[in-house]
Amino acid sequence: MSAEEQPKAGNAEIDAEEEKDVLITPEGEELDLSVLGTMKIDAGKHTPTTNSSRLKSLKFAVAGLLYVLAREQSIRFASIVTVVVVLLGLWLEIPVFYWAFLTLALGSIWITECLNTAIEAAINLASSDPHPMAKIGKDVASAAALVSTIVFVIIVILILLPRIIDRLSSLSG
Amino acid sequence: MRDYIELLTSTMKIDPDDYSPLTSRNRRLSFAYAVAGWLYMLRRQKNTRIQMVASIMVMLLALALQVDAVRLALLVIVITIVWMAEFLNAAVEAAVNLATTELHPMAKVGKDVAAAAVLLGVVASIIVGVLVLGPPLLFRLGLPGP
Repeated sequence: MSAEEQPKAGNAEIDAEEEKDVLITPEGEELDLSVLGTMKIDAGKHTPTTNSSRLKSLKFAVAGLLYVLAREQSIRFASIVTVVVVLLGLWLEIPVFYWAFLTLALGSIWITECLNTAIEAAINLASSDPHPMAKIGKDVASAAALVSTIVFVIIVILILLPRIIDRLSSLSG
Repeated sequence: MRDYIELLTSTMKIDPDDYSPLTSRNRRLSFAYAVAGWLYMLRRQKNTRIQMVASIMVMLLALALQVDAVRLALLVIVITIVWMAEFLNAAVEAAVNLATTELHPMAKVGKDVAAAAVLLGVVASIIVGVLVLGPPLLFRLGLPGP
């Protein structure tokens, strides 16, 4: 689940770290590091726009979807793959149940590609200069997209490939 | 070839600790931060509470229809995907707000596209929900299923 976890046992920093439970921001604000600390933060104070209307949220989400469809090569590729998989699924007449797996696999690709684009935008916003942490952020986000693509290929091999071979051999035989 | 290997290994040579004000290598602390993030979402984001209720209702419906373990597993996966998308959306939003408090086109792109990911997760979960729960629900209601 948490791929970023890199245990380094026997690190001397750990003990010193555990005693720290409050950090002070440069603005003099206290950051409570306890379990109950994060929820005390009011995000509304740190954002120029706040939105509480659900309809508006949906509008922004659709706007984001249109953006990736217009601008992102990988999303356009994902749409082509989605259409091809749906057509293949209809041609092979796969059972209803297996459509759920295909939906999950395709959905994961779309979601990770979108989050990858969003993180890329956030990083470009933070700094337009090259920076090691910008590289980590972008590379790791695209690694997530790669993982979902690999999972998709595995699911296609498991569900569609045997049926394609079946169908082709019955056509030729 | 050598250049390509150099390119592939360039990211892992970066030590994130050089740029972070606080790093946690302690598993217990990482877990505590994750719980803290969850509590933040439940307290500050209305949608998360609605999502919690919706998730519980879907699981109760699935149990009431006595769907088999594989279908239940599918539902758990799709519900988890929506939760993850929602949380990552909030994280991206926080990162964008951290980068600038001013209005900026890339801030809009970042927030809108992250919201699109949640929308896609919801669409996928509705499709999977209908595929998994639809047939047993129709059967239970005495209607002809597919």
